[in-house]
Amino acid sequence: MPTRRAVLKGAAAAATVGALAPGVTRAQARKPVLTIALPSTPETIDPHQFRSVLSGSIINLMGEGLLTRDPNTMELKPLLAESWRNVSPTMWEFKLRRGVKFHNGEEFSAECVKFSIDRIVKSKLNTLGKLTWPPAFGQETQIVDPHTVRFTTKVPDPMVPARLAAESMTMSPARGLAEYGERFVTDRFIGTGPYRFVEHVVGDRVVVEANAGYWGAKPPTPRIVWQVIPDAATRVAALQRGDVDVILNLPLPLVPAVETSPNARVYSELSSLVSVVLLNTKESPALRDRRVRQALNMAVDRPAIIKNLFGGRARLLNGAAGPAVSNGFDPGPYPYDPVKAKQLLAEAGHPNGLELTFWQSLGRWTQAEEIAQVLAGYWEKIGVRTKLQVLEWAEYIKRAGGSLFKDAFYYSFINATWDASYILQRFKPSFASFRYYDASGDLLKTIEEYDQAFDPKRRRELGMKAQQGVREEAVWVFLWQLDELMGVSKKVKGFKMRADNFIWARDTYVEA
Amino acid sequence: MAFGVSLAVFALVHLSGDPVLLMVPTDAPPEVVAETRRALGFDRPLPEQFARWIARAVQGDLGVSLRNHRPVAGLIAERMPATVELTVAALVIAVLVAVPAGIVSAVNRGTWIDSLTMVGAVAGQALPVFWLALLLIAFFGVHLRWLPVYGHGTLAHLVLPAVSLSTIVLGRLARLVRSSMLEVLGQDYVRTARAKGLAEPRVLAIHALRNAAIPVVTVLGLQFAQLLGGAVVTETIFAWPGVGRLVVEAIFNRDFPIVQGVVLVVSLIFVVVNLLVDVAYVVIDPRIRVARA
Repeated sequence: MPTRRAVLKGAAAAATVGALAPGVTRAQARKPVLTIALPSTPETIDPHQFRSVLSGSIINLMGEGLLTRDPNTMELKPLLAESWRNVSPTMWEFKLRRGVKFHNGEEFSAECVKFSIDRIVKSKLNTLGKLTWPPAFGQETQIVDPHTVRFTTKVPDPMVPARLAAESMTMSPARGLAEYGERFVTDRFIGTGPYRFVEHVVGDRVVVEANAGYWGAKPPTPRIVWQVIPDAATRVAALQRGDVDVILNLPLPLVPAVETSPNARVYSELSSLVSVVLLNTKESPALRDRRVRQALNMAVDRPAIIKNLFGGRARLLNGAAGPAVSNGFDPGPYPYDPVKAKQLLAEAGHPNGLELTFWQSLGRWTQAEEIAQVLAGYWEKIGVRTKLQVLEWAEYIKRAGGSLFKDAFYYSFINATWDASYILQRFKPSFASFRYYDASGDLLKTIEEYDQAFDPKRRRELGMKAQQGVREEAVWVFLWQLDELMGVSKKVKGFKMRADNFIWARDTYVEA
Repeated sequence: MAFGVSLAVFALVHLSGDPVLLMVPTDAPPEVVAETRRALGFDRPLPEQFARWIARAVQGDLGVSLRNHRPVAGLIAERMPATVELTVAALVIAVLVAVPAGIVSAVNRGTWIDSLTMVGAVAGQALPVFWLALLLIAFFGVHLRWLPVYGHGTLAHLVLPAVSLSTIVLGRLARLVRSSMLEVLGQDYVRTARAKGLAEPRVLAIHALRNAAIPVVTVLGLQFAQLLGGAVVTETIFAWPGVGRLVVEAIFNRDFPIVQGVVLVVSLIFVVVNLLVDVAYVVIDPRIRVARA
């Protein structure tokens, strides 16, 4: 038996070497294909209508925006724009890079910028960009010359460069996609990026190949395959076998399987998602009282949960936006103090506790069920009799966004502009969805001023003040930011998840 | 039948939730939601929506996916061959294992061979497919490295999913072959065949098995539906690009046209398979044709 296995192994190894030999030089032997396994494909390859950061990561191998963010520092960096300046509070000017060609040969120009921004913001399509740069700003794109554009807004908008660096702001060719202004693109992707579109087999894979005519640094891998493997255990098995090079969404219970694998390792990066419990302060009478909301915060021993439920792979979240984003900061934790919590409840008129309905969605977040049970357990201890309700995701997101949940529910928010304002805007009474708490008075004034402040120092002051206010109001039960866990082959180099969860695959390659 | 199933599924998927809110950004204002609903025709009364859908479906137009805007007929055509390949392979494996096992068991009735085979059959029936699949992956995929653990393409890719899926019908089939054979082996014509001095293998294969085959074929036809259902789990675990996974993702995304389209096509396949079973009766047992005439 051992001999047969040895022979088979030898044969397999020989076959692999044989397959790789052509076209690979000895000095820098690399695998011609990088395979990344993920739980599901992008909903679409339309440059502007995908939904998740992961889909954005795949699409932005092929497409590019005017700006990007450094994969290590998150600093804004020029991409298809060479420079930009703020002309007035309601006007920004961008100088465009010259000599850039789309995959269809079309020249990148101001016309393409106008076409793309109009498609994102003004068309009837449900673009993700409408969240990143809400049409309420009344933005207009003016073509100054073929390589200069100006954006004007009705309301002062200091965030324009940050918005244009989001992955939902991909530039598309004005002529190549002319007929798709108001229609879905399903069968092609024309961008300026380092990779070009090969195929999208819905629900199975997306394949891209290096763009020989790319204007910037040549990508290190000739071909990248994003392969759907829905089952996490199968993803791990495929990684252990060396069939795939990177696996995304590694569940905590499978971490040891990767850690003990001789040819793979765990890749872990703090997620930008802020996980919280939203409290309906508008329709649940008890939750209108700040003291009740503070009590719910103080009742939960978060460090214990992080240690025991997440194996320490998480960081406490104390403010709404998290400390890593621009103008984000840590206002300090609510202490774990069940005695004080009980006292606060009594002061608020609930000496015998109260009833609370708490909603959770299963299958969307890691260990969602355990999280819900643990939180309910802590609240029970201070006399908050918690009734757990679970819903499947489609119905859950409908109720969550539609402000229909009473009394409390779990959620994780992304940050598309990488600024604390992205989270804080949710507390303005004018915001369209997730309406569970309306800021008023001084807090509202601070948030609104912050939204329109241009001076970086002033922004920082206002941002901190607003986050402090939101924390004192205990608008949510602040929980944690989890680590994003992945498995990578030990031969993989240059793989990175950016701090905003964007998968940076353009510099990734696999040693043969 | 396909019409009835379509109607039931249409009603169920529309009861299950609103697809529009999954399609628009979570922060979309109500006007955008209403506009999207109107554009998709979801603001019309349900009977009208169903009538429109069925009118198009009979012309081969199953609509367009809500999520990725591709024609549903095309998506199904892309995925169906993989599912058929998997279920047929599973059925072949099940027959190849269950029929000999059932015969051996029947011939050696009451012996340890019989007991062992039937314990195996019951165990196979009781084993959850997903669990067996994970064991197969761990052993043949990761430990021995003999077989790939995901995807579609070569014969090697087919082995683990087909073996896992076959266990859904294998145990029941083996037990049915056994009891059916036992019944036939007690018949007069089998005794006659043996008395004529025919060799035992010939008696079993020609005289006994052919007569025992009718209930087995009937059950195979019905089990085909179970295989298609089991394919949903198997396809998910082995990342097999078939309609099972397509429809599961579609259900979670409330992608109604895909769900309706797949159900229609699958129920048509089921009808066709059972028609073939009826035809098979005639081939196996000419008396059936005589009786009907």
